[in-house]
Amino acid sequence: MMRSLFLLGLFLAFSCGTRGALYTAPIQPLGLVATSSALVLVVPENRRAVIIHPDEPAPRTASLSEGARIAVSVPGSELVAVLAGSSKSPVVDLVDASSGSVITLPSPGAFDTIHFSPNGRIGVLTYLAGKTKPELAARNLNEVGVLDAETFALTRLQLDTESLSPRAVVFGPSEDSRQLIAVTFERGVAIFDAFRPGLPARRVPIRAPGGAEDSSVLEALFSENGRWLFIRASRLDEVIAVELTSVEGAIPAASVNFIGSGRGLTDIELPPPGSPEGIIAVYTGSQEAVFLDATGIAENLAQVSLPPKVSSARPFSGSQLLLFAPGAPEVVAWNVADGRTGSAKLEGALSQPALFSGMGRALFSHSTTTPSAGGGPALSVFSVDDSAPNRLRAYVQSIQLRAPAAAQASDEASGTLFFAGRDEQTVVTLKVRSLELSEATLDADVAELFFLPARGILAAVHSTSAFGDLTLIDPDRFDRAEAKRLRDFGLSGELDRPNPELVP
Amino acid sequence: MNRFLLCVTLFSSSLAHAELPNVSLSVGAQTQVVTGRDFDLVGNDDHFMRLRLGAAYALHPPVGRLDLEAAYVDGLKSSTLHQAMKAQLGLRGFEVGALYRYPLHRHLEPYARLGTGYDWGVLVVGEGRLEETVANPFGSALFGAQLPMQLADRGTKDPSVVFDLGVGYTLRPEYAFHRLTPKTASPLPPDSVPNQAVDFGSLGLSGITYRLQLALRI
Repeated sequence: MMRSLFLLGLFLAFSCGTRGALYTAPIQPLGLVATSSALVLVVPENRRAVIIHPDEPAPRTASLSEGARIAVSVPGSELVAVLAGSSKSPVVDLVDASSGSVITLPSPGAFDTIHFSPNGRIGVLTYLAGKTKPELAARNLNEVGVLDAETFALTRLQLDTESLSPRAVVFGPSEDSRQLIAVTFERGVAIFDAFRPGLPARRVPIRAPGGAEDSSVLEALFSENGRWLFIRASRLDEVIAVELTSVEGAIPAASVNFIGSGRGLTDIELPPPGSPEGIIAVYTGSQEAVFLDATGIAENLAQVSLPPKVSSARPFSGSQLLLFAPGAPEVVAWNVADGRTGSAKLEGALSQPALFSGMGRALFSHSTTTPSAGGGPALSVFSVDDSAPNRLRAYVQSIQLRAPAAAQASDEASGTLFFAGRDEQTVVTLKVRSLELSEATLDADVAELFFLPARGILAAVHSTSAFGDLTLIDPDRFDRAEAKRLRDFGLSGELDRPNPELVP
Repeated sequence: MNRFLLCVTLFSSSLAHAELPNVSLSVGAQTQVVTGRDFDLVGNDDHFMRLRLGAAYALHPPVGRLDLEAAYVDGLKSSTLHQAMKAQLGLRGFEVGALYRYPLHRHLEPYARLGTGYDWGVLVVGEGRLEETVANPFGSALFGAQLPMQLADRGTKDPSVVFDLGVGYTLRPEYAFHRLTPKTASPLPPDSVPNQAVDFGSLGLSGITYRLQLALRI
């Protein structure tokens, strides 16, 4: 009897068990990603995606592959692409935020980031030179992955440039039979067709004419019809116009022209839709914006003088371009079709504007304004009246703020801007057309804003918890009683996680 | 009718031959071994030890003894969650059971026990950041031995101290913590933004059970 009791005691003592690794490591979720109807939080340590639907009683969870490192929403869909897996067995998890299902695709490489075309059909996976992986002895940064989000095919493509690593991915216009993509490197560009990834890419090295030094690609844009690729490079005041000529069964042939004669090229932008083939170039040295003919045959199709420091161009409304300089107060509107211009000097240094092209409004946020404007933070609403035959009349209306706008989101369809000041708990809605304001004060400082257009719900993210904290509110009603706060939602499904010792 | 008469006859017989009934009061530890990995949320090991306060009333059938038990059991298990906050599970409840013991020897009474009860499981994360209480019934079966030590040696009716060691299994349905919400010490302002629940999932708490207790039988 005593021996039996002793053995029983041993059994119980050795069945103590130890704590596994499910709950011991700190968790650092990736940033929230928004689709049109949901928010997705990827928690790599727990191999889980937490999906928040505003009209569901609680967040849902979906199991992911291990090692998630970046999550990107796929435009025009409810999919979120997650790069995951180990360096030796990389994968791409496609999370459907509407159903919670996950499709896992083996990846040809442990890529660092993914870029999607505007229609969400094609994703290009690339490496980032700065993100080394100690478990890999070598990486070929000239290889990319091409993901077809309709067929779920993921293909490796070797670009074979003479440069070390990619810098940016530029998508051509969406066409039925092809999708041209340009990957920019420091010394050139590689162009391929995403619908035919088996064809070798077309390499276009960049070098200044007559110069021994290499130029780095700073910016690239496809023309509206995909016939041209325009490149802005360092040490060059000319715009590089690469003409792409269709070749049967191969990537388009490329011939390179250098166009433009201004000084201090700082920005290039596509001309308004329907314009002849060309490119807008902004020069701070010669203080001008020029509409260049892509063929180089015509000198300049249109031209406008600019105030000092104006360095950036953005499509604005119709045939109008908006020209401005971050950090300087001048804003110019230029009708490229007929040459009319209008300008205004705002009451403070500019940030990147929030554009509402359909309403012809641009909103600039200022941390400080001139003493005559009160000196404090403000929001400037820039608009243009083009009724006059020989000029554009620029208007600026100012919205005084209690704190500089830090978090921002917008709904272009309804022409609404949502913002919250730095360290503020109040969210403000601004109707851009009427400048009507409304606000709601939440229970914690707002760090980030997301608008879910399919649900008409605004999500205000608070930074109080590493496990997630946000408030969902209907911006049309701004009723606190109908809002919902989700705290620590990153811990959803904590008890239902797979045992890492059993899951491969 | 015949069965009824038989039961009455046996019960009357036991009363006629029984000694005065024993009452025992017990205090001890009841430990459950939970090996599911989800229990690691609140435990650094697989043992969930709880305090047990019980009382029993002994019946004297013709052979052996039949103790009708009732007890209150309460315990707490906690650990650190993701190195950031505490996660704590409190499990308290009541149980009743019937324990049949056979006096094999003066100081040895092996037994078999069946019990049932009701527990309230309170999961608290982050000291009130998220909390939920879930209640469930349970059932248990134990085998063990009691070692009575009489305090005096004047007869079988003398009080005795009883050491009790039993091992068995407790079966519980999964505790579904699907609606954890923040709980604060003071009431929230009336116009606070309502909190939405967080679904943690389900926690399994069935497992091998053993108890070690000391009873005073009078």
